[in-house]
Amino acid sequence: MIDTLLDEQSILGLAIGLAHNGFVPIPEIQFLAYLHNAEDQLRGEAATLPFFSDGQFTNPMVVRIAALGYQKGFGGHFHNDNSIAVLRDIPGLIVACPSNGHDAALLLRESVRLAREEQRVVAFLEPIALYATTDLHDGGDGGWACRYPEPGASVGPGPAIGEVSVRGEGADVAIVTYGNGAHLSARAQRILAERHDVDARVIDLRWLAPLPIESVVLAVDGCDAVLVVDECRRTGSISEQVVTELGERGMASSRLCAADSFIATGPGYAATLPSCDDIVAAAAALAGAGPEPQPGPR
Amino acid sequence: MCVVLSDPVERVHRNFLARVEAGDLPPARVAGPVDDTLDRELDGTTALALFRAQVLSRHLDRLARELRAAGDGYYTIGSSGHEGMAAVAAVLRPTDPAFLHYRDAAFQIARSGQVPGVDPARDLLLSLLASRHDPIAGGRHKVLGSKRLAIPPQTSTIASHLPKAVGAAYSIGLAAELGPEHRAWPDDAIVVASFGDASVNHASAQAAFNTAGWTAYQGVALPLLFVCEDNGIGISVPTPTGWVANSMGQRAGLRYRSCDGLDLADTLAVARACADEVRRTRRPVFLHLSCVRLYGHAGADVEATYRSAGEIEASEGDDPLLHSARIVIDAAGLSPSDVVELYQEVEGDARRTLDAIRDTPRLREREDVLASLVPPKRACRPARPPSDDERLALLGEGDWRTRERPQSMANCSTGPSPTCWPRTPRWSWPVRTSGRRAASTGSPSGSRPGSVGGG
Repeated sequence: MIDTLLDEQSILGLAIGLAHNGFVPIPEIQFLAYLHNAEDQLRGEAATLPFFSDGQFTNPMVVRIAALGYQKGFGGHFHNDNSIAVLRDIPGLIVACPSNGHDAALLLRESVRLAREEQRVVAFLEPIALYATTDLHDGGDGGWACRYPEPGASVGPGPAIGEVSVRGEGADVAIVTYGNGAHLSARAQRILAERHDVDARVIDLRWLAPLPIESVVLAVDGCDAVLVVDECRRTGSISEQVVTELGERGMASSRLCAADSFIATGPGYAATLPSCDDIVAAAAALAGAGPEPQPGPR
Repeated sequence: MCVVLSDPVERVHRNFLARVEAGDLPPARVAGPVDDTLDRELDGTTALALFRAQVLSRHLDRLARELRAAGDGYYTIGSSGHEGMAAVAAVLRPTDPAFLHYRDAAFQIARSGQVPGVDPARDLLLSLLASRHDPIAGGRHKVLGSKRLAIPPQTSTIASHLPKAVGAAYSIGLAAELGPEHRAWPDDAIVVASFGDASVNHASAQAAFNTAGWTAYQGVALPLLFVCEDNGIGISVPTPTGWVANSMGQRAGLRYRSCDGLDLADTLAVARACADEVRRTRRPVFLHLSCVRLYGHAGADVEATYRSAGEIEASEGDDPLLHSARIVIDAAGLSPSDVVELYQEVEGDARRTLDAIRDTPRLREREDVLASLVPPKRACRPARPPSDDERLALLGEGDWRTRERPQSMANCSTGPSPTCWPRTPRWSWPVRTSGRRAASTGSPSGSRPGSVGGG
């Protein structure tokens, strides 16, 4: 553990330099919005080093970034940044995003393995609002709590890069999502079944770049409809890529996204973000059941 | 004597020959406060070796322009005027990692002389030609760089390489302590990072200077030699007189020294003092090396549109090769015609090297360009999970006890050990069944993803 000064360029520069010399550093960017002033250290430097050295020089690392929105009124846009566009198009960069504690541990282990053994640069997005979340449907139900996976538990079916996870086997609608969207969609899943007689499955992408599209295609197979729930902005969010990739394979899908807006503090903190109710409405509409969804744009 | 020609490259070239032959060499300059404790004695062998490196750097710049004009080369930003960096290389070891400014061909050439079997002319020309055999980038970019010479490639960087140079310097002390498996550099290495005077003003540079000073200020080892190659102009904007010295002269944790980068003896003496200090004290030093820029920023740049003829003439009159000619005549006992002969011999050698590789296969194909986006895998020692005793010691009793119950993500990702497979989070993973390609599963029929480990 190295205490750094408050400068993201220096934090990432430290990591790159350490990685040149045989370490597998895990630098931390305290909030996603603070990555932006230093993003060139990933885009222009870390990601290009193997490319411009024909693989002779590498700087493997796992960049942990506390990210995304839904903190209940805390922080405003700098602490609830919901755009990852700046990471998605960097060639060679891997982006992971767990939605629960079990996955967080296993994805982090896999990310470290990718860095250590395959010399990759991994951005590891941690949904801040889920850090302390243990409940799913009701207070105290513990539905989002997980036991810590024991060391060595990463072997076997699990969080290998390119593998999504699936919750439920419903075939009326597949909800493709990640991060906070996975938690919200899992809540919506029960409401859809109980109140709308809609049987949904929830697909958590977990790996956002490269997009695990083959695993997504496999996971949505057999569903009558696909809804992409994306807590990032309508413009530049991963939902654009999911819908496009599915469309190119002849599969229609719809999206529910955040508005193209910054995040407000106070009671409007989630006003621009997809809510559980939004997901229920959109999924029910897609499945031809229940009330119409709230008007967009979301 | 000054040759008047519209092509600055040819003008500088002919000027060199004419002035050496005429014995019309510029006098030694004095830059900055002179430190009289330094030994400025330059032996003939060292002077000649450095001069050869400088001359090769110069001719490679000339060849780069010729190749560009012929459609065979793809990069014209040169090192002319910055050849004093050869002396900086001379005071370092080839195992000292170097994060270089793009005008540092002379550094790489001089360092090549410290490692047997490296042919700098061939290496740099292959990069200029965008050859697939370019030993550093495989033809992806004209870069300085070499694995064997501990020079990681930098592209057209404006100080964005400086934060990682700070990290690299920090890594040396940490690696000595912890011994990472894939350590690249020796414990007594120092890092060198070079950049131009305009780049000093960049946020990335300021962050690096500040972080280096902040670190050293606390007594933490940071063996880093910054070298600011001050040619007085950034692209087309002049650097205010005295700016670098006054801006960088008094920074906490960062020692400042200056040298005349046109003068091999001065550069060698001051750079050696800097390198020795960094190596001995493990503290960062900022070396301010003054130089000139010849022929503008890049090949497409017409310097005369923003710089007066007098300013251009002054730079060309201070061609570092003319200063070096004076020095090798003094130090190595060469005659002016010996100097001209050496200059032409190095040119002839470089041209023969070029002729031999001119038909080298270029990087052209999509898959070849893409080939190094993902780095190669590397062999690692087996990972050893920590023992329960180690984890207990790390986590403490409180966190350790929570392993018995489900937790939030914040606790899970840093948390303690369970004694059995976790209570499943009720997620499963899609399973690929043989004979079915995921990409072809567009139809709604077929089996659903199976559940594995679901609960």
